[in-house]
Amino acid sequence: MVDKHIPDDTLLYLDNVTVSFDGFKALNNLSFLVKNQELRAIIGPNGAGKSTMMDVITGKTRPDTGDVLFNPNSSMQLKSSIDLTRHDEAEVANLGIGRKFQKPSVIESLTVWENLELALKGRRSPFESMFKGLSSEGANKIDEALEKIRLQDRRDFTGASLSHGQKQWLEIGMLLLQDPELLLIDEPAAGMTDEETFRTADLLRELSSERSVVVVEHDMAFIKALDCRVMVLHEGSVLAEGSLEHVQQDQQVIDVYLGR
Amino acid sequence: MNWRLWQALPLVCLCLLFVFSAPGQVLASSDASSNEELATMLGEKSWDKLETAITRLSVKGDDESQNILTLWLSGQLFIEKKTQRLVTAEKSGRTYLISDPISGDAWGEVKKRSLKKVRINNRLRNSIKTALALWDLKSEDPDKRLQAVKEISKDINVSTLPLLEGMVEQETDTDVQAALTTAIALYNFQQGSDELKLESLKTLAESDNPIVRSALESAKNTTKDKQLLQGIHSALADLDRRQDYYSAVESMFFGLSLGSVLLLAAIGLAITFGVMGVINMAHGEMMMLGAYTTFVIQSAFPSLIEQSLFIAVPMAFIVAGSVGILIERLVIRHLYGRPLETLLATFGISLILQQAVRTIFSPLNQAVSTPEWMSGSWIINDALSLTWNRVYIIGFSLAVFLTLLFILRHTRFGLNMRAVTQNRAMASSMGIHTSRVDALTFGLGSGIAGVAGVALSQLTNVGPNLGQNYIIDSFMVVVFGGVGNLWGTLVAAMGLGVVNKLLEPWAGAVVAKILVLVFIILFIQKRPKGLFALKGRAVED
Amino acid sequence: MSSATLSTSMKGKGPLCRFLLDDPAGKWLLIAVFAVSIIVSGLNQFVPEGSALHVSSYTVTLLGKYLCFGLLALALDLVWGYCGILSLGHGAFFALGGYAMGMYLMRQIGDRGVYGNPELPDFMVFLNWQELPWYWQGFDSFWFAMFMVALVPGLLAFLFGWLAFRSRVTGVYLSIITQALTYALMLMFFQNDFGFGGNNGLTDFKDILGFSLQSDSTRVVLLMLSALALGLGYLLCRWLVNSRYGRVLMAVRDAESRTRFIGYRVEHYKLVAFVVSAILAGIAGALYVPQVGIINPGEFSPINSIELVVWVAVGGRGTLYGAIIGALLVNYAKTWFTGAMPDAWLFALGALFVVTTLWLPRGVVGLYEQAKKRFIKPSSGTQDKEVVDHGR
Repeated sequence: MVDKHIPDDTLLYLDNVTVSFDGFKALNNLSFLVKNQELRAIIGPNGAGKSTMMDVITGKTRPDTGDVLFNPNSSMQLKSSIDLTRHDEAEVANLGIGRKFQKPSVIESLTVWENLELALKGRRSPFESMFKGLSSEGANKIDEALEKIRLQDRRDFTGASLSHGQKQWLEIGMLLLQDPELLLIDEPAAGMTDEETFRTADLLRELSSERSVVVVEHDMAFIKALDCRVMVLHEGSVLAEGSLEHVQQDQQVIDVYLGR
Repeated sequence: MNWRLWQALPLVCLCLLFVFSAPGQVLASSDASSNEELATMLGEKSWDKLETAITRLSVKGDDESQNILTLWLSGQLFIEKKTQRLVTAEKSGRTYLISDPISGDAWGEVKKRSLKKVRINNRLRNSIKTALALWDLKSEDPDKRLQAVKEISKDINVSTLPLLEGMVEQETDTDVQAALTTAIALYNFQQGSDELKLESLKTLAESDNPIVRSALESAKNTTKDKQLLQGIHSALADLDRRQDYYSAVESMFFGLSLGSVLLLAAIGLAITFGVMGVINMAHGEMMMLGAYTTFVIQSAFPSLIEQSLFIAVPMAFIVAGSVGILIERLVIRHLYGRPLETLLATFGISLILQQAVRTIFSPLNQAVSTPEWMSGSWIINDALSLTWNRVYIIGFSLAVFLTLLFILRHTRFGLNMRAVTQNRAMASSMGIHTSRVDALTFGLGSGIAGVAGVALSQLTNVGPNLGQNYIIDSFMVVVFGGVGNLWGTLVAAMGLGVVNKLLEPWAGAVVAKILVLVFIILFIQKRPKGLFALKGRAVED
Repeated sequence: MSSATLSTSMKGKGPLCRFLLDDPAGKWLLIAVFAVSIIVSGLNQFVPEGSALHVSSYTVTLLGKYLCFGLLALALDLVWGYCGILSLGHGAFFALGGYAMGMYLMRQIGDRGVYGNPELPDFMVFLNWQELPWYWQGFDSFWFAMFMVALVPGLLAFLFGWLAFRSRVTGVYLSIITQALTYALMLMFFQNDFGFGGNNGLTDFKDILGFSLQSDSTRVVLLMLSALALGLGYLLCRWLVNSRYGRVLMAVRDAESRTRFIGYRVEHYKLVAFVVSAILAGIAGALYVPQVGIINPGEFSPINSIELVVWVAVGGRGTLYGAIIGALLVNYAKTWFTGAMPDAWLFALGALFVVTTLWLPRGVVGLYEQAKKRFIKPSSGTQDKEVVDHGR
């Protein structure tokens, strides 16, 4: 399955992925790849399959057919090429894929600090969590993240007491501490002020210098600010791909968005 | 039950009096056989001679002889030692009241030791039964004739054979005819030539009468002839095959009837749990209310036992339904979206209802009577009979199921209910009173539980714990069938019922039940959403 | 719960000290439990029988029973209050622990039974059994039996939890199948040929480790052991929920799928909590049996398990000390009702279920804290912490 030609610097590779629910094809022969340290935006109307695509990558949904490979570039050393369809959510997360949901979901009964500590990379087994304390290095990382998301003065407040925007930031902070190679982000700008939106775009661009970031978004201003390659999803497959300008001029895309 | 028997007692006595005295009076005038003659005949000590006496009476064939034989069989015939006359005796305190068996005239009171009982043993009993059956052969009632033929076929001899053969051609009732053919074949098999034996095996192989089996079994061990032996074996194999078939049909029937009970118990739950997502632990108590409604109606109108169930079904629906609506309005309404809390609150309600019933009625089980038309069995053939109450329960549960399906699919209320389930906000904005629909839906589920309770009152003890015994089973059925799917509930209930009954013969009732529970527990691990789970994004959290 | 500041500022001190300083309510509860146990024991042992201050051995046993229930409630609270697993079958683990202890006590009877068979318990002689079944082997040894007290419930919880959590059976589904589990076990133990005394269960115990179960001093020792077990159980649970493990548990409770996407194997976390909880329940059962002198299949009945849930709910789930308080309160009420007006008890219990779920979602502990908040103006910082404490 790996003898297809895959470019060297590919991080995520989807080939001919199909998922159907009771006959409805949520993903229809979807194929695309994400390179190392690439920032990629995905747009598409409702029901285009964006969430299902994320579910497939993160191990929540098993595809009916198709390959989902992580780190496929090292096809010579099969070891590090990973078939994501064989792993569940927790394993996928530990392989280095982080996911941020559309609805901010922080742990409401834990404080900001505890939320971040929970996300800090490593120490995932129950026994480690009982016996292995927080290293000072870890504590420093949490402090750094806290600074980056500007929630220092809220560190001992519970998740429940944060505003919508603060929750979004906290979640981004948690992703930073997870330190993934690939970040999947679902509508990060939803519910943010304009100023916050641009700050988020900046942050994502900055993040993509060390890792690959895939952003699903509706807000065109935000996508423009991301300034990256855009992919349009429609009825479970890729409709168009390219720069934002290129995509916006594509007749098919205009048809889909404006209705036939 | 008992009081009815007591009421009927005088009537029974009257009948007996009539039966035993009437022929006697008629015969006293005719001088068919004198008491003296009979007394010598029956005073014999030798079993063989007594046997002859039976034959003689039987050949005579008059009503008087029938009466004598009946009395003999029931051990009421004595010889008075002093007078050497034949008497019937009835105990009265320390002494016996004796009378003439022929005329029925009372002959006074004697002590026990002055009487000698006419001897009887098992062989004679059988002979008398056969002889008595001959009278019944002429009866107008085909059931009586059938019984008589069966009685006679236990022991056929040269004298009875022609009688049977003569009857075959005139007999109009097919069942009686089949029994006659079997009886003749059985005689031929036991007494006839080898050819006749082989011939008769064909007929015997089609009979379900247990006597045929025992005759074949005993012949199997004594027969030397190879061909005949082979015939016997193949006939027995036929019998076995049919027996297996009947016992499979019977297990299936028991399974389906258990399944129907489960369906009745679970279907209301399928509404409250499946459609509304409400865990109603008081569901069992709704059934209990239905069963008690039946009890109350029967106690209030003792003359209407036969019709009581037809009154009880709508009443139980109303009682349980109203209690359900009350519970929904007072408690559950505040707990939507918190299934675990609902579970606890309704459990509390179930405790209160149970204790209320204990306080109002009693902690003991109540006697609910079964109408005449529901008791007894439906006899299909010698090997297979189905009890009527179970047959009715199967039909009733299916009727309830179809009614519910109809309400959900084809009524305005059903439409509203489905709308509220699928999208509460949208339904509300379209002018549906969601809270009223909630209450009515819960009322419907509870009402159906009440109706189920009426059915259960015919099958099990009606007591405060009636509901508790069914609640876990009902949940298992709903979960196993797949929540929110009525057809799933049907399949699960019937499936579990049948599996349970199929396991019972080799595992025992309790172990079978445990096995089914364990199976479901494991099954839920494999398919957490049940047999017929809805798929797709809509059901994912 | 612990805030990061507190726990970092107290680094270096012993863990016990840290918990107790951080948890005034728990500290006072434990002190009260031990104080009452010691006083009751003392009054029973050293005050002569005629005196007004004398405490009857009935009271000693009753208190011991309450403490076992407290431990059981604690066990349930660990999985329900902190992990969101509403087990309606925890009574099964309690009963299994009890049966393991009961089997040891049965073997201790030796030839003092009605039939005087040195090897077989009375009910086996009655059933015409010739030899001890294999699963009764070893129960003549106290330590083996104690090992089984933990192993059997733990193993059952492990198998059941491993299956259920791995296939992501959650919420009411899980509750219902735990109920089915205890129901199935009840049916099994009611079977005579299952080898555990059927209907009558195990009873007529004589002594434990050579001490007569009828004597007051044994009863006092058992009471003290129950108090000790409750105390140690409390500290264990407290340590668990206060560690990062406990915070992951709460994350699982509040947002299970989110926790998965962070990379935690949710099923492992649940499994550990479930097994620990089952073992605690088993220990509670083992301490309960010698004090009440009988164990029968009725302990498996689903209503027992669900009554246990109401103890925790009344006390306040998600606070360990609340669970214990709930168990003590409800059971005291039960004793009082069954003495004063037995018919009213089920009405009261039923009403308790309804009232707690409708108006006291955080139990009496929550009620107390609400009252405190109303009358004593809190500083702004602690207000948020209160929210932390009691989850949902």
